[in-house]
Amino acid sequence: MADVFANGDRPNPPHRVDTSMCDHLRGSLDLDATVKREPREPEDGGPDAQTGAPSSTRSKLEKRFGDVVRWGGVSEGVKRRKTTSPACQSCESPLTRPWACLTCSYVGCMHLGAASSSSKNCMQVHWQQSGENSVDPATGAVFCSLCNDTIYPDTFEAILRETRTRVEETADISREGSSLRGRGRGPFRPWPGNDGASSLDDVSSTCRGLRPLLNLSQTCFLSAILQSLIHNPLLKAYFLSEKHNRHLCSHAARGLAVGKPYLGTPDGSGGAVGPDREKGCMCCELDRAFEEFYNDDKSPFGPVTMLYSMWHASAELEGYGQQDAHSFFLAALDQIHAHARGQMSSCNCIAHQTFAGSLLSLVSCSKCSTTSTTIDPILDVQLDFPAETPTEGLTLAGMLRRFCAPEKVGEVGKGYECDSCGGGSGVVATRKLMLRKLPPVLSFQLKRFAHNATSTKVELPVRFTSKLDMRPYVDPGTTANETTDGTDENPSDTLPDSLFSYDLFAVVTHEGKLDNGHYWADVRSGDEWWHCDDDKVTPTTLSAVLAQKAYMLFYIKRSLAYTQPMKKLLSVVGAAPVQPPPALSNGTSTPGYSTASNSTANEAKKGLPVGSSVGGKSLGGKGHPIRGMEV
Amino acid sequence: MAHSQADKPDQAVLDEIRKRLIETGDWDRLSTLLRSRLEESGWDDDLKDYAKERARAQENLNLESLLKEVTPKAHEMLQPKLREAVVQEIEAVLEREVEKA
Repeated sequence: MADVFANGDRPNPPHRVDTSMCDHLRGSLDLDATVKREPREPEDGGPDAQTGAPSSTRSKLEKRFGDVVRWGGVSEGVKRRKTTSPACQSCESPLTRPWACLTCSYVGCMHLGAASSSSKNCMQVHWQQSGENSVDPATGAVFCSLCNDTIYPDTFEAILRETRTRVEETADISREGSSLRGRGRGPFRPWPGNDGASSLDDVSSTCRGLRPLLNLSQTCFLSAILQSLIHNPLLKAYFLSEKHNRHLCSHAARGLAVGKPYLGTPDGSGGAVGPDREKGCMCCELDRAFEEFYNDDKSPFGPVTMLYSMWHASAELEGYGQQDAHSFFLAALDQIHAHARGQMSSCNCIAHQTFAGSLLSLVSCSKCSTTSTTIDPILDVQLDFPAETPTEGLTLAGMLRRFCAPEKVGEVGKGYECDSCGGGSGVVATRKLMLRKLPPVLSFQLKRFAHNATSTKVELPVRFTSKLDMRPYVDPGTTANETTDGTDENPSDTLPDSLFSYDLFAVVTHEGKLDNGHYWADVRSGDEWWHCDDDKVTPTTLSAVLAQKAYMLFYIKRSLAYTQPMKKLLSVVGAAPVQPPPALSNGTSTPGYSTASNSTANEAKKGLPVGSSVGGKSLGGKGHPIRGMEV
Repeated sequence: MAHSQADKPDQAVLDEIRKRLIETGDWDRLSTLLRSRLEESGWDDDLKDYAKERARAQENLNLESLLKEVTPKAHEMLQPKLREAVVQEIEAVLEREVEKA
């Protein structure tokens, strides 16, 4: 398998052999050739195909690879319009799985057991004349006919990643919106590495962020959620890069002083001694937790100050005894947000940046057919169990479909009260839900503890997967304020699949009865899964994790968009004093901007629409921008 | 259906059908349908697990040999109901697009 930490664009230093490619390919690229190659006739691909300077052969092959995977990214990742299929250049049969020669522009049939369009092998014949490698545009796999195997060279993997990201950036028109929405999407730049420093290959870390947690009397709910937060890649990046330093935070709880009367700050500047209690700061607690998880101490860690901080911030969770892990999760996010500096409309606290998304609610009246739309901010998706279990069992996807399915609204007898026509008895409204903004981390709660008359826990297993495609549940329309250009094609059909793909990284499971049970978490660190049951942390497998009767699921978006760097936006005004980015009207293009996509800058959507409502009646409650959907 | 079960599909005919389905966009639609049904049923995860296990066990790991081992298992793991549903879709498309001989 390819090494995850690729070298990027730098050539390999001559003394180190790149083991991610075979000798044959290494020879073709003319790097550190260990295989004596027989001189060949110059190809019609150019006089310097074999005998030219190393860099030109190499760059030709790399360019070819890039072109092939870009084509693959455009036709596979972006929903295809009706196109003609590529045909084999030898036998003209249509190729559903084309393979492209790496050294020239040939495309042909290649037989690879079951994974091929046909049983023919025109590529093999082609290799007798030109080259010995072919590339699969769909995956970037390189096939070496001399090894008779696929290889995944690091340098090509890096080209693949960058090319696919660029394809996504160009196609990502979902990032365009009104000029008030923020900085827009900026281009991905591969990490150039530190000059002279060794590559990431050399860095071997024993530190994986794994640590057992002490159960401080019925605190397994905290252990499980904390584990899921520690292994959340975005939170990890935030806290490990010291974005919140508890030694400098003005809200910092002084350890166990939390809850005690406020005695003022040590230097007297923080305010008078008064009746306030030391409130504590959840960000400081997380900072402390990350530090504890990533040091050498692997003895069980007791998150005492976090617990105290939680109690004093959130009255309903106070006291010893079992709490609902989901309530704790939302309370923790609330407390992280509490000390954020953002305003309501675009909070930049790490809780919102990580978890905030939005839901679109469409309500149509059966009498007058007006549809009202409401956009509600959410921090997670809470899924109900259906009244009747389908025979083939419950799946996460099935529950999501039910979540989005049209539902009749309207009181029996009284009917639906429509804002436009009044409604009345007999009138019903149909409500549909869809996701509008997908958060970077998507959390699900499977509502096993319905607070209804029976008040029993739902024990039914729900099948979920390590990958999740959210496209079917996302609003296919363009952003609310944008006008389409009247094409008959739905513009969102051309959005690449990667914008909707998520990967599972944490699962919280509950066992036992409503008020007397136990929580644990299964978390992913890289490709390894770990079972975290309070102070017992053991390796586990994906299949074991998928077999859990999950209560909460955490998925992370596979591809993240980067905002336009501020200096790009400010380059218009040069080195002059910093000004806020000018609001551009649609359609004008300002020189000096260079965005990957061909849109005017500033149009898009890094802003988190919290609480915005686009006309219509708001159903299903929210109001509180942090608590999420309270249906 | 007009053809008998014993007929071996003619490669040229298959090619024509494939070409047509690609043109109408049905190939893509069916592929996507199959892929998402497979993923939702857990087939993807189970197969990946199995393939990893087999790959670790192989002496000389090679794509072809791995495919040979894994392919029958992949067919076996396919739920009959899923297969039926997708086959029905395919038949509907063929009904629409293909003239019976």
